[in-house]
Amino acid sequence: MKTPHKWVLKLLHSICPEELQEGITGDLIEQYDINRGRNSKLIANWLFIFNGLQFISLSMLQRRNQYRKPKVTAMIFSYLKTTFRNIRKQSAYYSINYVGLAMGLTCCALAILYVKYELSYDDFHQDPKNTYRVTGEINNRAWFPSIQNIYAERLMDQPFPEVKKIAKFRRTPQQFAIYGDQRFPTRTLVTNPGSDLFDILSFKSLEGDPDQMLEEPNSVVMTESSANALLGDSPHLGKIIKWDSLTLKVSGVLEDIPDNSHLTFNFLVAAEVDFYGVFTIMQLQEGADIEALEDKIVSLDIPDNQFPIKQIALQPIREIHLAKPLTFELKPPGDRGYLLLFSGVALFILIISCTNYINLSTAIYAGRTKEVAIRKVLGSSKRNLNLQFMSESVLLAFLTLPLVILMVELLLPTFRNFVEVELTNEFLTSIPYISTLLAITLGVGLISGVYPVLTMTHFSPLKLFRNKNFVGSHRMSLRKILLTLQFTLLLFLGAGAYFINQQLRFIQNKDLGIAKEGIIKVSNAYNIRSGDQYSAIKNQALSNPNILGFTNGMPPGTENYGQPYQAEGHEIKNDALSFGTDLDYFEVMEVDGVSGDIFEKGTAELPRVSLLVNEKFVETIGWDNPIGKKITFNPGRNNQRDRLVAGVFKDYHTLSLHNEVVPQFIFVRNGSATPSENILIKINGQDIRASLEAIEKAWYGVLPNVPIEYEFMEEDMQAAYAQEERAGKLSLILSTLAILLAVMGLVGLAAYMAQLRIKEVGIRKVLGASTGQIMFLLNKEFILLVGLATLIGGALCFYTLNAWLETFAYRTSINILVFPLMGTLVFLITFLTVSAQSASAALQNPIKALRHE
Amino acid sequence: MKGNYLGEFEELVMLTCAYLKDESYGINIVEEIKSKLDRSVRLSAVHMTLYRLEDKKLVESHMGGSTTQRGGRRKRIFRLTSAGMEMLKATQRGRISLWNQVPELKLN
Repeated sequence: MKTPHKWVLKLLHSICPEELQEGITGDLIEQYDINRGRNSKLIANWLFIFNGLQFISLSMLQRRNQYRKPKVTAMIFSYLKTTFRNIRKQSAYYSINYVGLAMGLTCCALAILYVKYELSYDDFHQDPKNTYRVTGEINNRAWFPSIQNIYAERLMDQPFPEVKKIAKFRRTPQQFAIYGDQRFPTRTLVTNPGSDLFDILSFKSLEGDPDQMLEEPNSVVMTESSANALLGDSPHLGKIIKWDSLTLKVSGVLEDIPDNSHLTFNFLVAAEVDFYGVFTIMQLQEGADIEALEDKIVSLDIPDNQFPIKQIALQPIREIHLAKPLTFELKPPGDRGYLLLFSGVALFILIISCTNYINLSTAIYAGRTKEVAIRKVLGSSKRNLNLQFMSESVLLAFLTLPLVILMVELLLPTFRNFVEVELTNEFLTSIPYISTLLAITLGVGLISGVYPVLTMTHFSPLKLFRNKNFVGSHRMSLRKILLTLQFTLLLFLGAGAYFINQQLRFIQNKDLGIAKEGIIKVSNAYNIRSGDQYSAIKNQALSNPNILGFTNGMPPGTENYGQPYQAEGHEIKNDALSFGTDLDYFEVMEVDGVSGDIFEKGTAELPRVSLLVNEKFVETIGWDNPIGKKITFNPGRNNQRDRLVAGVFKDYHTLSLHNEVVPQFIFVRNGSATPSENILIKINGQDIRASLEAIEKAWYGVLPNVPIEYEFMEEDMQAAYAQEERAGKLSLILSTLAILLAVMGLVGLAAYMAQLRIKEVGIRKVLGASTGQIMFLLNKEFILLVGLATLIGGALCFYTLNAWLETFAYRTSINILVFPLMGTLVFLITFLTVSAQSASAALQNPIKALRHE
Repeated sequence: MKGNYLGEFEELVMLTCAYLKDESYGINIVEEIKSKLDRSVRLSAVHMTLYRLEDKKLVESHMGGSTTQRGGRRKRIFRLTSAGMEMLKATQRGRISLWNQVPELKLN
């Protein structure tokens, strides 16, 4: 039918509501035909324009919105219906998808809990942003978290204008607090009466007013659990406690100190006692110049005999927990690297499960090309289709949330033990946590919805109808990239786990040159006040047959900051460890002597203190015969001493294997002396209980009021590798999880791919392809991808592992062959998964495959 | 209540629509009015009236089958709803009672 003046129709097309257009234009054309029969062509044409333009009116424009509205809601119902029908039809794939994504999100949620907790240290105080701790470099060697009392006093007496509040406290050795006949071991801090400590730090009070608690001399603030254990029933205020030589009155009870504080105490005493090194906490004015203040403190006029500090750093209170560990920190700090590692791996897992999700979704969508084509033919706009796929993938992502929350709830106790941090499931209560999780889920949903939106909706319906599987029809499709990424991460995690654990085994099996097992370390030997007390404990202990040896000294694993020394003919150095002990040390700790009479003849004929050096020292200094050479300690100071080398002992690893063996001095005292370090006791490993009882009996026979603190030295040495140990375990768990996830993804994907290619397989079989050839065909793609992933993942892993191993002075070597081996392993897993899935397609009777349609 | 009665043109369109049955679509109504009453009405006016009546739920519409005429476009076919039929009957009753008041015009 010829139509004059198409522009009229076009105009109407743009003005009239879509739903009415067809009826209107149809009528207009029919009218034109009638008019053509009655009038001349010219008049009919004019009438066409005239009649057409009459439809253009305000009321017609107003109608436009009226028809659209109900349609969108109707379509959403339609979308939901198809979504749930698809889920029912493909329930296996959807459940793989669902569980995989839930696992990834759970990992991510746990990581968020842990990271947020580690970052929350000390942020509950009054003004954490402006609260600082004064730390100083003392002795030119080590940073200490405490400073000499004289600095704190100067700062408190003549405060600088930028300091708002300041308080100091010191730490004391562990002692029993005594109430009636109750005794309770305390972790005690001591501050001065009238201290502003609770003006700066906010702890919740159960009894007493925090502002008044520390006013009176000889008052004590306890924490809830310690007060209940020692004092019985509350209220506790006003009770009298004996502690050390003091008689204290309870002036307040606090809630137990939260775990996310760098402070840990259960007994806070306010008393006039001697302070030496004190922890100093300041609250500064808003916007104070920190560096200027540091300089001001350094330039305070301190007399020389009080050892002026060369460098001061103000440490923000919130950063104490994750800062580089200082010497004699109040609480072992967290580890930033470990935090990064953990969140990084959690991110890996999330990426793996996301790629799984995207891959599986696209595979599922691939089977829905006909649905899309039909929707398009029926007039669904591109926008509508985009909306459909986006809302569907977001909806599915959100459906995992209940499972995620449940899994977090179930895994949290195990996870808490693993990271050794008190975590609670904030995803049930805290709005910011919930919204973070919602945002991540939304992100995952959107990302996985993008692919079908980008690929499917812009194809012409004709192409979609042809049922060619468009997923992966490109040479380098997104699916292949994602699979490669997944394999790469898998390889990275697998090889990483292997080498981390290999290094751990290496550390554990390395001969340290010193006894590792069966040694008890008593760490509060500083409570022994005299050589006589020490001898009494030693003799008492050794009288028990279960005690095989008794000495004192620095056990491996402790850090120590030596003293400056000048060896004969060399310059002043300060690079050696040193400590004092008795000659039993070498026997108990199984350290061998190399040369020197002292090892055979004993100390009887030697001076009160003899000097022994290790082989490393001899090697660094370059002496051929070190015996009898002179070394001056603390040259130029008032405690300068000359010592002659009396013997050489074999190198042993006293620091963790991160460090090389360093030069070392051991001063052997002749006769009894107060132990300056820990007591080390060799026990009978067959009867540990009896041995420990003997040690306690000997100790309490001499020091009845001091609780003994002891542990197995081995545990303490292991603690130096706690981070590695955890990283090792973590890498094993996570790589298992990653492999599990990847296999789940592959199962779904391979099954789907095989199903999509079922006709191709059928035709090939008809044309004579063997089962083996078909299996190869279906696996071929994966071989290439795994090969590529092995290269990339291997290179990445090699690089990062090298960087990590650099932190150890003694390390296992990286065997390059492990990477292709890992690659083969990954391929084998892939091959088995894919083959299991494609076998059904390959073995099937081709008639079945070809019978469709 | 406003809207409870029909306008003259509305009544005309609805009546035509009622007896045209399956052939009651825009241009047919126009032509029908033209041939029966010799009255020329505008196509757009008929359309707008039908849409308005549809809003009031007095008529309903569906798309007819497509033909080779009209450039393959389908017709929007209108039909009276039961409410529409009731409305026409009420209008008729009202008119007749008025007509019957006038002896010269009284219907038998």
